[in-house]
Amino acid sequence: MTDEDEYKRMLTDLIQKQMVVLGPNIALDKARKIAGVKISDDGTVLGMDGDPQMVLKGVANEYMALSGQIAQMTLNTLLEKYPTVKGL
Amino acid sequence: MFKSASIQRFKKTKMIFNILLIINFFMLLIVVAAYVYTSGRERSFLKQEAGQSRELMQKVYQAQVLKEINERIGYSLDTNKIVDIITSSLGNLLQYDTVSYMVLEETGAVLFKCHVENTVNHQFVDQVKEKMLLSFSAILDREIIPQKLDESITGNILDDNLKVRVESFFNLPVVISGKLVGMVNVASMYKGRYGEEQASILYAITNQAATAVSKLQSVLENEKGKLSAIIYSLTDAVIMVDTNNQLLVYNPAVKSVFGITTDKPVTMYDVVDALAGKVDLRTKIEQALAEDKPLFLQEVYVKDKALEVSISPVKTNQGEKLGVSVVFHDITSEKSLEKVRQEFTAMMVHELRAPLTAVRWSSESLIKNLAASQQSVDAAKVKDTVLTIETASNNMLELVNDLLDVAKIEAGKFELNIQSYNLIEVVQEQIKAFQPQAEVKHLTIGLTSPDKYVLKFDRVRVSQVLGNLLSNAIKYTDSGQIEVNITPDSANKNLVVGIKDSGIGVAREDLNQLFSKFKQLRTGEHSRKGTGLGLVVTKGIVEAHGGRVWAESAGENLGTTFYFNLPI
Repeated sequence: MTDEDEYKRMLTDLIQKQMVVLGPNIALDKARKIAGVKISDDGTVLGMDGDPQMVLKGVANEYMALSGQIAQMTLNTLLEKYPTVKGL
Repeated sequence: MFKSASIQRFKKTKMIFNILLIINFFMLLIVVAAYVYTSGRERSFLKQEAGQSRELMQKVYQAQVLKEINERIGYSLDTNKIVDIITSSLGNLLQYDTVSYMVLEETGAVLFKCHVENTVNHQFVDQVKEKMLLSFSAILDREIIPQKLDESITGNILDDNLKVRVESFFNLPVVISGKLVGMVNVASMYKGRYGEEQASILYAITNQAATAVSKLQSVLENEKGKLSAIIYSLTDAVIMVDTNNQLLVYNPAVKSVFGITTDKPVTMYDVVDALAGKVDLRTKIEQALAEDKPLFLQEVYVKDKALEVSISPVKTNQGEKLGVSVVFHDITSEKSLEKVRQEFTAMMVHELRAPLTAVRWSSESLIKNLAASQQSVDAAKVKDTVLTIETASNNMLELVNDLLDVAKIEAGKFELNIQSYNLIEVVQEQIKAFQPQAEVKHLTIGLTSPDKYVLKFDRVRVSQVLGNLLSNAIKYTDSGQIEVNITPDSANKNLVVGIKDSGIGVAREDLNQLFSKFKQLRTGEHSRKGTGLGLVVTKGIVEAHGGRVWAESAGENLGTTFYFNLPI
């Protein structure tokens, strides 16, 4: 599995988790604000342009701006699940 | 020719007309373009103005909602109330069919409250509930299965004939002091109702309200921490009980006072159980609450401890009853000291009564003899009786002097007359004075010392110390010898005097009680009974010189050595 695939999987997990936590519309709206990422309506990341870590960081920051501590809790769990992904 | 000229003129006119037409067209074009440009700029300006105005309105509205939330929350730290207030305030900001909140209780119970704005069905409410539980599970990374569901639905009635379901929703987790305390949900039966823009405002408001409450909580926790530290540092056992007799606060002394050994948190049952048969604490607490005044219980005996219990109602500034505080003051040592004091007083009375009785009897006897034989008085008999009176008076005087000395020592008013003397000479004098008493018991008194040792001390008082120690040595020794040893201790810059006897000795555990005012060791023999004040006075005199007194004994019947040192 390439690094990008790993980032895609983690980003998908992050978005889908936020869809459950916050609600689908707002979670998708926030993620889609980041340029270079294509996301389906079920939260699956279809494609990423540019540096995948920057894309992940951008999406994470969007969620952090909305609900800091909640987003942090979700991210911590995901970072444990994806150890190869660099810390944000 | 004429016709040709006419045609030429016509063509010319037409060309001029066309040119004018083109000029007009271009002018019109310029005017239109200018109009479009100007109106475009105007529109853009107005749009920008409108955007700024909307943003400003949004901020004002956000501030108003926040102010309302803060005012309603006040100084409450009740999680349910806070989440309830946030929910009801947010509901006014956007269109919805239901607005709900959910709180996870520490007991595992789940509190769910749903306000139905527009009629929906039960399935809709269940969907909301399920989505909130899923959100909790996702955040906490564990499955949430409610142990007990405390559900309340307000607003419009539910109609199961309606075919509606949750089509759009969003959740607002409420985090206070880093802890997820609840969740607000806004749901609608229409698709795509809640975009990022509306939800972001609500998130901002909720976050700011939660931050304000977190700060308040932090301040209160800080203050609570100070109070807790005070309660925790108390040696008295302190508990606080609410109006339902539930234990709210206790300090570590509770465990030690009641002998509670469990590692688990102390419960009200533990305290009540420890007091079982002694005092019905629950009833007393109820009494204090009902009478609204403090209640005192004197001398409650629990596990060989004497306790003084005070139960005081605790109220808010507004007079609302919160519960009671109960303080268990350990008075065991006070009671023990009081007993020792009583024993000491009884002993002193006895010690004074014996010589007083002797004086009285002797006086009566003397009066009778004088009355019976007015002519011839038996001089020997009279002398004997007067000697008895003198001895008894001396004993009493000695006792009273000891008491006065102890009083002076305790009051710090013990004065010394310090001058340079040869201590060896003073010791020899005292040995000589006690020689007759020792001989009566066939005891010898030996002295090992340098020939001469001059140092500064109060001759009278140090003689008194030597007298007390020699007197004790003779009193508690039936056979053998008494050895006085004087050794300079240059390392510690003092002179050590040791008086060793071969008497009844002292048990190791009793050695430190020898110099206590109220402790007189029991010898079991009346002939050796004394007040024990001599050693107290000895200690006072030696310490007033800057010295130290102590005793050593290998055990009962193995003799005792008393030491004291004086600074060189």
